[in-house]
Amino acid sequence: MENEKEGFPKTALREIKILKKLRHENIIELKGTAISSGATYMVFEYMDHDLSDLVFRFGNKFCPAQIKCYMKQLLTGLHYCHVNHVLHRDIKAANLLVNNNGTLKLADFGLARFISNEDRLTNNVTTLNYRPPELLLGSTKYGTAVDMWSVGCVFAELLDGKILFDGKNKSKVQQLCKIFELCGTPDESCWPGITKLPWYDHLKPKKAITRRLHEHFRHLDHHALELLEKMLTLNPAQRISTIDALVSDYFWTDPLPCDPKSLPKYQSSHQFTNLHQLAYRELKRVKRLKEAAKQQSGKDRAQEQAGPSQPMHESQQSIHSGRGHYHGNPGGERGHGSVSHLQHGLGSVSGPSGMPGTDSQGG
Amino acid sequence: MQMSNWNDYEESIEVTFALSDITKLAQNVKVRQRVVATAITYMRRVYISKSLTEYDPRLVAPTCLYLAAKAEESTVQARLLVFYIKKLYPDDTRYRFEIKDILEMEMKILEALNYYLVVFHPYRSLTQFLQDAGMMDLMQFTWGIVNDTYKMDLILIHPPHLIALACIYIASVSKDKDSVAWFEELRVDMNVKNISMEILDFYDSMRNNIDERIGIAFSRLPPRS
Repeated sequence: MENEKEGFPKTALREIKILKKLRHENIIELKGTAISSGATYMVFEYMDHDLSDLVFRFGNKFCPAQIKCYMKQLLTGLHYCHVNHVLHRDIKAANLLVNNNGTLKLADFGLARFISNEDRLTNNVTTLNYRPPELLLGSTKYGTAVDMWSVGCVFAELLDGKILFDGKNKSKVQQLCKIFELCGTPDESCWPGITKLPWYDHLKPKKAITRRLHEHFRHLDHHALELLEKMLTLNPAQRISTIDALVSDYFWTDPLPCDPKSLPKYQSSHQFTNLHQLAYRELKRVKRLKEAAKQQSGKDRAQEQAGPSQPMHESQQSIHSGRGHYHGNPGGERGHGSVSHLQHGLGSVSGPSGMPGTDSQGG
Repeated sequence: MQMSNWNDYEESIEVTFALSDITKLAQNVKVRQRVVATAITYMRRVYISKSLTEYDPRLVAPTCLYLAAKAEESTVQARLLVFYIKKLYPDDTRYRFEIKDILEMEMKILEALNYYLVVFHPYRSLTQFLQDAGMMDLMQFTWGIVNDTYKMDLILIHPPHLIALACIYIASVSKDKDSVAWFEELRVDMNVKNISMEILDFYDSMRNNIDERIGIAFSRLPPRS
């Protein structure tokens, strides 16, 4: 914070401003903010999992009613955002948090903002894998449809157990190619105005490809496929809206979306990664002690005895001062400090306010 | 200067005067009217819970403008504000502020506002209403009245759309436009009339030589420590 030239970071301000305004069962609740030694911390309610982790661990075992339940909650939360004129702009499985009551909540509003008709918006939003074609083509005037594309990607991820447009790549060109390969190439007839988008001339498809989304997912139930088709429509003007998606046949035919409370309770993602980390840390500690013991074997005995107490103290400290980061890569930083959250039943704490959203702007 | 020597009236005048700082600064740095309105609302909210002796209004005013500009997506650089404060008050040592003063005050204001940053204003509904009533020719006049309402604390008390309606009511009456049927159709409650009365009372009180009284009250502010 002290290094910030322009005071309180704009993105954090946006996030707080918007979260304070939104109150909904399917949107993460900002419990409060705290300032400590120059950094601002946002305190959220406690959530056990993120959807990306659940897909990673149990992706193939989701039953249709369960997927419908998640999708319904996602669309309900997003609908609430959209009617309140808020664009999320970073919908992805990792930003959808699930607790052990089966409730799904939208999180990470670091890139969200209010819709306005006048302003030009940045096209450098949404994690690349979930980024809609109009943003990849450089559009700066867009609306709620950008979120719906990402919802489509999440939907496919739930159905398929893996990320839909997984460009392990880091470039927009490759991402666009991935999309065209599956969704076909757009032209003026199916997407009027596309040729006027800023980067169309650079990125326009070299040869026409026909849409093969239908063939790719032909094993799916046809209501699911129909909805997916409408979400992954290239032309944003024709893409389905949250409310139309919620009333689509998919949610109103058997099997109906199940009650969130009836969903299986998974072992906490935090605990899961944390146990591994604790075990790993313990191993390292033992190793270090052994090495120390080896080195000191010829030396004073009293010193050796003082050895073990020091690392113990260290690890306790890290549990207390560490931050539970609710998002991030599996096996990344997330585990830190969640032990204390579990014990006290506190919410997870997001990192310093400079952080939100930075991870999703890469590329 | 002890707090007990202050009365509410003087305090409200103090705030009004400091608010004019926001307007003056805003004209220099050129921000949208909505930013000014939000900044004024922030400042009024701050002084609900804080006293003038606690937070210097000379610093709170530019900081509110700074924060409002950021929250309304049209950031103004802190150094620009510092520059214009110096330009506006070249000889007044009580207005010597550095960038870091503004940034420090920003945090305090965020706390005082409890991070509630979204403010709705009458401007948006104003256009819709005037269009609906077919009185778009009153736009500029009504807009001016809405701007004036920010010299009062209406925005803290009444919903913005009712303020907009009250302003339209005053504008239509003073320009001899027949708006009775339209208002009846809207079926709004008595509040609109009450708000209109409040605004008119305010205009009345403005006729008395307010500038002089402001000057006296402001000169009694303690010097900066």
